[in-house]
Amino acid sequence: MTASTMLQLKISRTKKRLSNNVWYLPISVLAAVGLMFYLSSVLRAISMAGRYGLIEAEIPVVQVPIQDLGFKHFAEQGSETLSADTPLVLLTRDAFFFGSVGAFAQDLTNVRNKFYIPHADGAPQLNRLAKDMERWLQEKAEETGKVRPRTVLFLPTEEIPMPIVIQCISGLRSSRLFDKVVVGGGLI
Amino acid sequence: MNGPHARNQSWVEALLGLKERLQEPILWFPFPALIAFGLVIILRGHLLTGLNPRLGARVDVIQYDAKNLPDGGIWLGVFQDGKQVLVVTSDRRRFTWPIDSQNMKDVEPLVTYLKNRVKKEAYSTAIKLESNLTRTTAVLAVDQKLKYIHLRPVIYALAEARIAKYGFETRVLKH
Repeated sequence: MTASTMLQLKISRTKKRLSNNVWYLPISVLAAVGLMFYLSSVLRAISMAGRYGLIEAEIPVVQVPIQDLGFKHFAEQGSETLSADTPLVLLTRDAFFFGSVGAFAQDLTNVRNKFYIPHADGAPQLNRLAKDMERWLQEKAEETGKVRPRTVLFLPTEEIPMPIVIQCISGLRSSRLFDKVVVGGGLI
Repeated sequence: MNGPHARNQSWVEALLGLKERLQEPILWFPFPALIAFGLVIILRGHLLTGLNPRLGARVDVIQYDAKNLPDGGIWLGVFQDGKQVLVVTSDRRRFTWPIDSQNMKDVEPLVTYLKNRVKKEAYSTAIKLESNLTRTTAVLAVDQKLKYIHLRPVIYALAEARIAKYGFETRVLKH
């Protein structure tokens, strides 16, 4: 059988096939689209987590009350004001330091008004920080007679990796000592 | 003509036709399938942007147990792209600045974008007469490789746009 005859035969068969099966091409493409749609959905589902969580932080705002001239005379109240007594936690590569804002802002060189918790093998000791802060806040509240603050300032230094920053914020919130964590390293 | 023999005959013809067809190699078959696959990927990944804001953002957030992420909010994916910090928003806007940038003017486009988003939410609140704090909460999906210094401009931008509430997205492991 010569090459020309074989080619003729192939052309003839192809023509016959295409004439007999006009539905074949669209249905194949449709099936392929359906299959790929399904496969891409499966790939998306397995490559992306189904559940995401949120660890909240705050940015302090300046209170500017607007006078309400309406019937109710609504006035918005601030939940808490940051002051020199607000607790502050400083996170460095080596340790946690904590104390009041005043101890870091006005009296930085004094070692008697700050507390130091070194990292254990490079890992921050969040449990120890929570315990020591609770004791310090309790003693301070008894000494001054003031209500314990529910907001803490958290100042990580620049080189701290974000996963550690996020875990520390979560640790401070879950310690039940504070309701709000203000992240302020480099901003304040 | 319409008896069982005729029905069998049509089956035999169909089988013979199939047999003949299968003798021919079908070399063109993968190409329509590949075209279809490409179209589906493009459609799902780029055109239908509302499907999932995380699609296309190369953000690897930490696995950490936290309270469930509420719906809505201003989602921002922050990651490093070469020597640039790249911020991708849920509506596919992209903002970049050099990784060692100390100039806060580099963040101005992001500040403008956030201000517009907040303004839009404020209008919506005024028209609907109902407020939703979740809508103006910024959700930061921060890549694990970044350090705090890289995130500082983003927090600055949030503060400039008067967004007081924000949070860090985590991937929660299934229990």
